Amino acid sequence: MKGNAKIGVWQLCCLLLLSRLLTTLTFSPVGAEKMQTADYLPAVLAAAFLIFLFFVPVFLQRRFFSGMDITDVAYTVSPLLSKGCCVSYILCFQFLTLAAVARLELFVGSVVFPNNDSAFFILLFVLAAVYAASLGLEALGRAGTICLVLFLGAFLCITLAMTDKINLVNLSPAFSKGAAPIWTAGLDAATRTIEPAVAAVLLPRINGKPGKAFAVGLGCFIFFTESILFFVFAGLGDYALTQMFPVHAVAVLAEFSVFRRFDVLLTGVWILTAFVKVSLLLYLQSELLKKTFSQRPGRLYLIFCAGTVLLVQLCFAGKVTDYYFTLGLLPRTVLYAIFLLFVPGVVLAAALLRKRRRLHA
Amino acid sequence: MRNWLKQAEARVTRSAAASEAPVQVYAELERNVQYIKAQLGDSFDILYKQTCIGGNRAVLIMDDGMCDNLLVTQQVVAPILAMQNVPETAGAQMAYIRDRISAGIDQKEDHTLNDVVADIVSGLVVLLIDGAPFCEAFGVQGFPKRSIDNAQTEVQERGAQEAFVESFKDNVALIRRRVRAPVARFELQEMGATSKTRVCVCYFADRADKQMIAEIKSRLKKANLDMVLGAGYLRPFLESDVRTIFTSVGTTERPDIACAEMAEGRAVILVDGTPFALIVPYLFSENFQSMDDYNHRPYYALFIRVLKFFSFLISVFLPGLYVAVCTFHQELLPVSMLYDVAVQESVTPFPVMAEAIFIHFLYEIVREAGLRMPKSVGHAVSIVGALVIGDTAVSAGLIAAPMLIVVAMTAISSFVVSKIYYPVSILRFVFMLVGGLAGFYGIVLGFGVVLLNLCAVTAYGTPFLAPFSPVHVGALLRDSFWRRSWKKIGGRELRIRSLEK
Repeated sequence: MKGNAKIGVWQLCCLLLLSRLLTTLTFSPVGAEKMQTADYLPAVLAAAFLIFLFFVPVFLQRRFFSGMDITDVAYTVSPLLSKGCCVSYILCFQFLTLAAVARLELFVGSVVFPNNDSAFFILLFVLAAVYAASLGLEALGRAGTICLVLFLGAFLCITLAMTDKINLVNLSPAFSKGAAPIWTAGLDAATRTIEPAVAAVLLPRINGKPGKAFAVGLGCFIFFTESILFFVFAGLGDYALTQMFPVHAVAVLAEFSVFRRFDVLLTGVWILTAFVKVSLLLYLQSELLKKTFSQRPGRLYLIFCAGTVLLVQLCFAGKVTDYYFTLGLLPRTVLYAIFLLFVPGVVLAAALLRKRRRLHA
Repeated sequence: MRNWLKQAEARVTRSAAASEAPVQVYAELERNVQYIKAQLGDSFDILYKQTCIGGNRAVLIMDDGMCDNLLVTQQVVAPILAMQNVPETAGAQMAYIRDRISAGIDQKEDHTLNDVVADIVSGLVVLLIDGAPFCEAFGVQGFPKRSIDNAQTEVQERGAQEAFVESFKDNVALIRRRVRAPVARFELQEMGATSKTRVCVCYFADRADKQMIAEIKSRLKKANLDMVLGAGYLRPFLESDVRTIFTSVGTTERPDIACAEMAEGRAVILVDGTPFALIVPYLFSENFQSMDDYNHRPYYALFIRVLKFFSFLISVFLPGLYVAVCTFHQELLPVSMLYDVAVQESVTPFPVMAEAIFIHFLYEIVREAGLRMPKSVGHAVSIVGALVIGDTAVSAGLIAAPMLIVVAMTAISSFVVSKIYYPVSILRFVFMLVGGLAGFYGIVLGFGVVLLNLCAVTAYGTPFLAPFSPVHVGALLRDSFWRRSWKKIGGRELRIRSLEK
């Protein structure tokens, strides 16, 4: 994807970290009751390792095809492959947008406005996201940094307020069922969102070397996710596993002196983070659509993508939400493997072969 | 209809002189005078003094109100009338007067009658001699003007008290007096086809980016305006392309601030007839800074800036949050407070959102009336406003007392950040509306939209939210919320260009 606007590698790092931390905030242990709470903590390390592995194709792409996104790399093999690659990424991002919106709708409908119809709120959200996406990548990159700072501020407040509620007894023993559940939980955490695909598409729009930023981002992910889960499970114990949104449940309990209801902070951060994430995904879809078809419709693509999300969400809201939650680990892993390993792997291998042949010729 | 609108627009923005080719000064005096009279009409303030110089007929033309009569007499009329050994030819006479007779420095030679007319209405005295195909113009301007006064909108505790005035040259002098360095540039251009307003782009040649200055000048040149009666006329042409409620063009009435901005590599634009200078590019964080911050010690500057930032947040979000909490999230209030608020709000006839919008609207009306009314009547407006809104409305049960407290806090907070009063007052209404319709959710979403909008603004290559986003650690530690000591900031100002990313 080539364009005039570029963002710094740290800005991309902030955007991806936000996207990842959103999945931690929205973490729901529904269907995972059988795991020991303490197992979730080493599982974060396993998730980080898997994320690192999934980023390997992105680094290879940057190493061998600097200045090209994954669809450009595919174009060097065949224009048709490039179009197919674009369409598959569009569908992938559309699915992620739907998942983020569905999660938010569930949260808004069950926690923020339990007695109201959430359709109006989702409509507002999507309209705002369309506007934000229309402002471009630079704006999203800059906003991502500020949102991350706000996120960390809110997290710090909740952490401080939760300190006296921490009891290590609440953590059930780790590794009591061996390492397998930890790897399963790690895979579950790693496949909740799809940053390497975003990075693969945005690579040519990034200034700077990504290695250091990636390492710091991964470190931050480990630190913050570990901290959040530690506070959740050390604060709530096994009770957390019965909650739809355990992080929110912890925030409700947090209090410091006369200050209570820290869940407001969490709600704000959740909405803001989801807003930035969905805007970025809509932007990416619109840019890929421009690349696949024609540049002319411009912002109409954004409206089209948002309209699709809105239509699916409003017409099949319950079904999408159910679908998302019933979507087991296996289908998600397959999806992840296709978009982060198979597609980039095949494209890179074919492009490298073509490149070598040309060099030898 | 559309064509008619286009034609109307063209009439307003058309350059009056665009189609006129320059007319050379004639050798015959009568034709010149005839032309000037035709251009200026029978205006009573244009004076023509016929005289004779060395046997040639001559005429001095001036605009009475625009010239200093004493200077005219001392520098032009008296020396010309008293001169001896005058050459015979008109051209030589003109050169003799220019080089030997007139005592003034500000002189120029005009070869076209268009320039002659422009000079006359600009306050120059023009000398035409029969037989000379050019004329001499003497700068003896002296029109009535306001003397330099205290700043009215940017009052400072410890800073200089001088402010810009309407007189363009005085404003340039106010800047020059503070910066006695040859790097200060004051480049003049004329704007407005009819008003021919002088606009001056001021910058430091060694610090301002040349590309930025060229773009500013180019934008000003492209501005197709008929009349330029204030700096605000130029603002839209200088702003960022992204539509935002905040502005990336700052204003100041203080010459010391103008100098400080120039020292950071920005451009300051002075418009003749306006006691405010425009500053480009202007960053969001500057709305929370003042000249006093640099005169106080750093810790107090930090305190004041944080105070201003929180005032900004209160003035934008407090009414909306109050509406959201009362309408949707009552559980967020402590029980005792919830009880009090519920009792008060239950007796009012309107929903909280309508009540909030109504009372803030009323407040804005009172504020506007107080601002525009003569000072003697302004007090009466305040009293009526205070009595009607503050006392009667509450006792009549139209408005709840907590709402009044919210209005008061909001109003006072908004005055703390007076530089952005206008966008803040509009945003306040927007957040009241979304707070009433979508509660806390709507407010957070609204905040997200405003944040994204601000992030999208880039003024002449500098992000509007710099140095916060994109983060510039050096600038953040130097002079953002925290201002470092002058010992550390030291010799060189931070340049705006370094914030680009």
